[in-house]
Amino acid sequence: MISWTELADCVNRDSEFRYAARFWDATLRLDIGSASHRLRFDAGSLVDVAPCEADAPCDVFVSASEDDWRELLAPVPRPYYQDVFGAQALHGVRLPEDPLAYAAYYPALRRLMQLLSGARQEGR
Amino acid sequence: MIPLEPVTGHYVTLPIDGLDHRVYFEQAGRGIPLLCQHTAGAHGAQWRHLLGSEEVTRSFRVIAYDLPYHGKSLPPQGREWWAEEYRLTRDFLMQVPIALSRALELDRPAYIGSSIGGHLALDLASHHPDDFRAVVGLEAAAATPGGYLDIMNHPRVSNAFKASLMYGLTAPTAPECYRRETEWVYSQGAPPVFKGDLYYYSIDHDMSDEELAAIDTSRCAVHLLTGVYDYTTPLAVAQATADAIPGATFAPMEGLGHFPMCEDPERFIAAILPVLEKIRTDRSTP
Repeated sequence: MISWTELADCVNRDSEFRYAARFWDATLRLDIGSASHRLRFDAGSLVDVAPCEADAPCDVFVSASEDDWRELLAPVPRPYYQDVFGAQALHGVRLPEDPLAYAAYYPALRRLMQLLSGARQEGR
Repeated sequence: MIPLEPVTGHYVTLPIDGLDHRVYFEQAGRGIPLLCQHTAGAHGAQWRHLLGSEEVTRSFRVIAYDLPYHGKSLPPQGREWWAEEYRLTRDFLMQVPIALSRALELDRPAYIGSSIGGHLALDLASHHPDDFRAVVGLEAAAATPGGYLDIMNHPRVSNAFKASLMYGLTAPTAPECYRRETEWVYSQGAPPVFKGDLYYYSIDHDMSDEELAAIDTSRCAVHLLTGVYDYTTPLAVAQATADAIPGATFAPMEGLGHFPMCEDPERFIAAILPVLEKIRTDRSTP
């Protein structure tokens, strides 16, 4: 269970994320099973998080089943779940087909996944 | 005075394909020469922990080189390399350790490499078995198609993307400082180099079962090891490659990913010492 409000605070306080996400204006959709949320970034700040439809328009998305998300966010992920790019290749994780959609901000996306994992571990 | 590390760096000029390539290498230790090949888009600093391991250097002369266009080995003069897209081929890559071995007058060195270096271990064993007493392939496979991607050298994407992907190829259990160091090394590569190296990794290196079966491990021993977190060379692929080579050994490496020698050096050295000991005591190869 993720507290999206607290996650936003955590993300905006995280120096690594803020650096990796500099100048990032984008919407990111996270599809966790049948539940989707849209995160809006303005100049690298997470300014809004809201539930959305699974096909809501966005710039970048990460889609996976609840089971795959559980593996991705585990304290020590099993092999090939330690990175969404790899999990896309060998597990059921989906990213945009054109990597140009997220490549420039992949370090930010990767850090966000770590923060999500931390938020989940701490039961936020 | 603060003691200097027992690692020395040198340059040597290697004639390859009609051009002089000024190649940088570092070495430490004495005994059986061990040529160390870095991964795609990186440089020899990945081997610094092996160079600094007394357990290794008491029996091996560890030699870690930077491929031309990588690290301190600058592009050659005499060719307008800036007017073409950089691309690493199998034939060129095979010549580098062989030319270095001859320049240093090494006596049938052992060879170790990871990723493209792991693949190169197999190509050397197949094409040049009499030049090496043994090859060790880390994260090696007969073929790894699909990696030669335009996104790896795109004007709208910085080197941080490639470096970040490489962090994701390390094991989550590895010390964070070394995962970050592995990532940092990747961020240092010239923009076209990683993709160009992947030409060899995903296109030019493509070995059939027949070619693997024809490798003569009595002339050149073959040892393969693969990290269980390496998603570019899944364990089953690496195991199948080893199974196709009569006499080859294979070992999975728990808690390691695509960059075993630099992401978790302590764990890697524990895994590689038995292999090095086998090479040291092996009398079956001439």
